[in-house]
Amino acid sequence: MSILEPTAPVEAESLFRRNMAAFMENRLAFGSAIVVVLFVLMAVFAPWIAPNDPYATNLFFRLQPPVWMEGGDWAYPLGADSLGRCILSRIIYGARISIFIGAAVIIVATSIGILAGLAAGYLRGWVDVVISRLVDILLGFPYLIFAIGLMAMMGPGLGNIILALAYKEWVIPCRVVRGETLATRELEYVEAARALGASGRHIMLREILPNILSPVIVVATIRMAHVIILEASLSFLGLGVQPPTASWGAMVADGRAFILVSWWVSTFPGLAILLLVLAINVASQGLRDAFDPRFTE
Amino acid sequence: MSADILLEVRGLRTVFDTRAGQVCAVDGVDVTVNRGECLGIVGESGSGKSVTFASVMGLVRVPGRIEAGEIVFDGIDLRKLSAKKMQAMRGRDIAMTMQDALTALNPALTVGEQLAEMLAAHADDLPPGRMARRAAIRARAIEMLTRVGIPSAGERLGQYPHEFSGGMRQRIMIALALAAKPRLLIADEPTTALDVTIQAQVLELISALRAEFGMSVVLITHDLGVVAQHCDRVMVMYAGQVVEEGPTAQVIRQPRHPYTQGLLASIPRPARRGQPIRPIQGQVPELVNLPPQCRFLERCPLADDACRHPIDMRPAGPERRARCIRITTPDIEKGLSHDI
Amino acid sequence: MTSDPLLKVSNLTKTYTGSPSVIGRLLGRKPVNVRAVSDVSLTVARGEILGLIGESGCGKSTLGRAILRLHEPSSGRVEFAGTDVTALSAPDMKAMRRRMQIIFQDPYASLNPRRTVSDIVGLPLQLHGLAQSRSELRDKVAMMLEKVGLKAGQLDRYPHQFSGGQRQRIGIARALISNPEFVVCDEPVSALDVSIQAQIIQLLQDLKREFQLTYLFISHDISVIGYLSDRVAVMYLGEIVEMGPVDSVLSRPRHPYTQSLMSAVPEIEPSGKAQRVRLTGDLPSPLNPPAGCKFHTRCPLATDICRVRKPVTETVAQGHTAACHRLDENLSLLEGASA
Repeated sequence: MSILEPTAPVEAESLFRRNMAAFMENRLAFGSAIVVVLFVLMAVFAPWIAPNDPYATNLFFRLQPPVWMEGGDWAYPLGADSLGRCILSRIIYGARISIFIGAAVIIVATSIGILAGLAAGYLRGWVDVVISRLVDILLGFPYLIFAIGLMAMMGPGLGNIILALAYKEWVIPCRVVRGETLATRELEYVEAARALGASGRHIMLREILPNILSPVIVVATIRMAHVIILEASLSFLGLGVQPPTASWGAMVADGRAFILVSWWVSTFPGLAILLLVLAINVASQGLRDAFDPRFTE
Repeated sequence: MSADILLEVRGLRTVFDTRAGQVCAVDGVDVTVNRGECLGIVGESGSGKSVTFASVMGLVRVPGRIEAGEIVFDGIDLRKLSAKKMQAMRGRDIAMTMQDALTALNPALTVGEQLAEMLAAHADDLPPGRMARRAAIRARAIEMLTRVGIPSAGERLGQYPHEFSGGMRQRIMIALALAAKPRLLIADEPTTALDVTIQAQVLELISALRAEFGMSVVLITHDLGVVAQHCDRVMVMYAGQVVEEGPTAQVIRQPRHPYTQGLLASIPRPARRGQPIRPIQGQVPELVNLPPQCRFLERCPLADDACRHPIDMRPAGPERRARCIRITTPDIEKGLSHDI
Repeated sequence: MTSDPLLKVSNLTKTYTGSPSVIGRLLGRKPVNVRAVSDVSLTVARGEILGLIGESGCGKSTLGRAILRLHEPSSGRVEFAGTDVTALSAPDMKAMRRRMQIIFQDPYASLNPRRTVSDIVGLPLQLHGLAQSRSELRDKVAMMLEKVGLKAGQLDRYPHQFSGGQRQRIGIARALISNPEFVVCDEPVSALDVSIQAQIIQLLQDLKREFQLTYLFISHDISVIGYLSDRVAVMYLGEIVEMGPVDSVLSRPRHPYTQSLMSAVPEIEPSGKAQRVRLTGDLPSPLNPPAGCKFHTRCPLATDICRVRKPVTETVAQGHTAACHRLDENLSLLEGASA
């Protein structure tokens, strides 16, 4: 028996606000969230922040080292690549690609996953069988190879990358939503809505969805980090965004040939990937701890 | 202290620090348990009845803490014991059973393993030698299970808690609690989760074992009927305080405190069909920042300005006490007394 | 009782089929059938409270839900005000739901934590087009809240801001706002503290009078049933073993199960020295119910015939029926009651 079970709760703060308060108390996660926000701001305001035009080549500055090394110049704080383009500027612009693709894939995949998961979990029967089998089959393919195959078929392009990644990404939120829906549909408030004559659509979207959104959001943020890595991998392999568009994966690939002499060409974009992915991961762990009751108890 | 007293709690105050402020779950509670008696503790959720005995057992954990009070068990002040000594005391001298046997038993160990663990930790009279010791423990475990009415105990030792029904699990928990033959058994809502026919079996088992082992039992419950059937004395708790105590039959026949009266009037009885039920209005107050006044004031039909002071327990007849200033006034007799 | 009952349930059966796992199927295991409700017939007259009592797992909640088609009945008929509910199409059933409602046991699980009181209580109005505008909906919800003892100003609060008793009031408001005729009360007070329980019982009685309701009141508490109901039905393992007017059943229970149920209730005022009927053992698993009379494994009166043949339901007094092989012998497990 818990005496803390309130007889008439005093605090009127919402569940969401209580969770947010818990999240803020987690300093590491909160700090990481700030890093993520800074990356996003950097991407949005890239033209104002970047010291140079990321596409301007200047062979005179070819493989220029970063400013603190011998021969470095403040004009190119992190040095220049093999075509003499400013690495810092390209990293700043590259954040646009990573974050845009990451967000777009997650939004598309999560929307599909929610609808499919709700339908499978609530309607059960053949709908569930079809969706669950499809999920199983897709899970059977190695993610990157699957995406490479799709990109090879569809050809490069921003839209195609999003499609290629969302093709498989939706199964993750779908499985989460299906599981949560299966548990939630047995709750009495869902039965109450049915007893009142509510339609399946109403029950799925108005009664169940709001209650399962927290874990879905948590999963979406965790997966976003993963998608950013996948996009970088595709670009690294030359199947992603096409040059000269700045993309971190492609930048790492560009520097491969000079890694022994001009390590900065590959290293800085690599560090950018690492930092963003790490920040998203830590922040999403914090979100999970704060929002998912199963981890708070 | 009289030799008849097994447990004596004086001025116990247990608080919980929460975001909303300090919750005073138990506020100045006195409990006396005599040797061999069955004391019933009645109260609704939030009355502090479970926390009182969690405090006695030394089981209150952060954010809760015991702020004041004395807990004397058989002449030993439990609050002064080291954690290690208290640990040894739990199970051997004082045992507690929980309401929810499924979560209170370890799902990963068989019933036999759990009983053996308990016996190995607390039984002093086991023979030396590993094999002999093990055989003795096993025999004792079978004996305990048989004693609480589990058929073919030998085979069932190897089963896990989930393989038993709710009533059986409650019995297993009682067997575990009694394994070391404690002098005090605290049974926290032992039958709330059970069906009536099973409830009757379990309660009678506890009564029979009490007589057999000569132990004292504290029966925590929200069901006055259970108390009426099984307890010698009863303590009624409300909002962290004891509001009335006395011999069970008397308290039920002539409740002195308006809360006890309201509680008795609230119980639906087939005999009173057609007559309107008279519930206590309102709800239990929030235990945060309570004003220093009678806690039942807001819901009490007899309350007036005189009740806006801290109220102490006062004598209310032979062996009886109640926390109400109106005990001596006549309206409590006529105004509220109800036909039972 | 008048000739036309409001609710007439005939031979209602609800079977759940548990399909075996893939491996089980490969091994040739057959699907397991659990008869949660088995061949139940009952009637509820307009304005009456029929109490349905039984222990956990006896199928009483399933029966309540099968009547409302929240769980689709496997066979049998449910007639409500002359209409066969089981034969209704989906749109007709939706319209029918306005007239047949349910109040749930768990005041925590039965309210959607993410919706406000006005959303929750207003849902029936919205679904059945009973409010033309948002302001009309809010007015009606506010009125209903006051009827169940809450404040109109609490419209925009969330369920977690209420206590258990208040939440149960919200659930009652939701069930009654569409002005139904019949309400299944599924253990509405079991999860509440004694003093709050009395408040809710009183509220349910008052509302019944005000809205001229008919209740099927499901409970495991014989005191609550005895206090509230006009008639009572006793269920054991999916079957009704005894049914009749409360006075008749409680004062002269004929089925040994009813008798043991009554003697197991701890009475506040021990009336003399009531002889205890002790049932031994637990409820048998519904997966594998006993043959013959389902109660024979725990019945102190069981004989050979009880183990093989199922007893038929017989009338034992005016409107009072029971199903037991040994009714004729007029035995009673309760002290002094045998005639």
